[in-house]
Amino acid sequence: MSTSAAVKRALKDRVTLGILASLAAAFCYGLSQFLGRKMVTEFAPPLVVATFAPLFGTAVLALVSTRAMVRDRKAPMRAYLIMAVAGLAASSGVAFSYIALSKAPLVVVAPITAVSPLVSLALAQVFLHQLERITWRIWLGAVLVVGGVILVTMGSLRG
Amino acid sequence: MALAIALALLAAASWGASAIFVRLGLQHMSSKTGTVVSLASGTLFIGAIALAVYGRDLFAFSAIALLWFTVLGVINFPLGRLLNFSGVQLAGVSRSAPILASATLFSVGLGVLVGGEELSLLIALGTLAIVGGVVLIVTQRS
Repeated sequence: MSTSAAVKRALKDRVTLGILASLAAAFCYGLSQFLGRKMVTEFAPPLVVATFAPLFGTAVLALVSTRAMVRDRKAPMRAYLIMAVAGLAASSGVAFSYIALSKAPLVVVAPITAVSPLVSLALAQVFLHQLERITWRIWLGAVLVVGGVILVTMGSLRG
Repeated sequence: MALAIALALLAAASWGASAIFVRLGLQHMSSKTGTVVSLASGTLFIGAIALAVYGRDLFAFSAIALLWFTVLGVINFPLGRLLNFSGVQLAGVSRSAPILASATLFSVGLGVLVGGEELSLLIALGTLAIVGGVVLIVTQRS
């Protein structure tokens, strides 16, 4: 099979597309962490940044998503509630981490918050076993990523 | 210190649980709509806390800060979170959550490449571990 045919076939695969989307999201989050460090040291406190950045982000996304929102208007109310709870949980995480950082240094807080992917895997194993099969390979990969994130965070703090 | 550790654990639990809710909610709607709904509820929540902490001072920022808010908001949310939710919807939580954690690698990599920060042994070891972990996850085909 030629390379272009292999690429086309890979791009039709949902899992491959999802992995590419996750890698692109990781890059965006990494870039925003890099820019965010500059913002909270030079322009505004973290909580202010955490309020206004998503506010502008929501406005921009709502503008470009009107067609999708119209299409989804008949989605079950339960799905809207679940997504609202997902947003609340993500923002609670931000609030908890900021309060933790006000009481202890980053060197203590960052390695603990870095384990959140392992929490996701554990919860998925319990609650999503009908939707997802979590193999030892994924667990090992996640443990390596979390360990690596802790090492990188420690290394950048020492520097 | 114990309170800080408990709060950090709560933060990890909240982020971990959020991914599960996303996986469940996106079974019935597009990732675009789901992202808007989650962003709206989260922004209202964190905005209420910020308003309680800072009062009117919340709005006392410069025009250049406003520009930065917009740039950061666009990179992190319409791009980052939408791609994140699309990743969860297409590849599942078990693959996307650990891959997303590699964001730290990109952040520190930019610090080294653009910000002139030093590449230490710990960062090099951590990078190897993250890349190894991501390779294990993306090569899982079932």
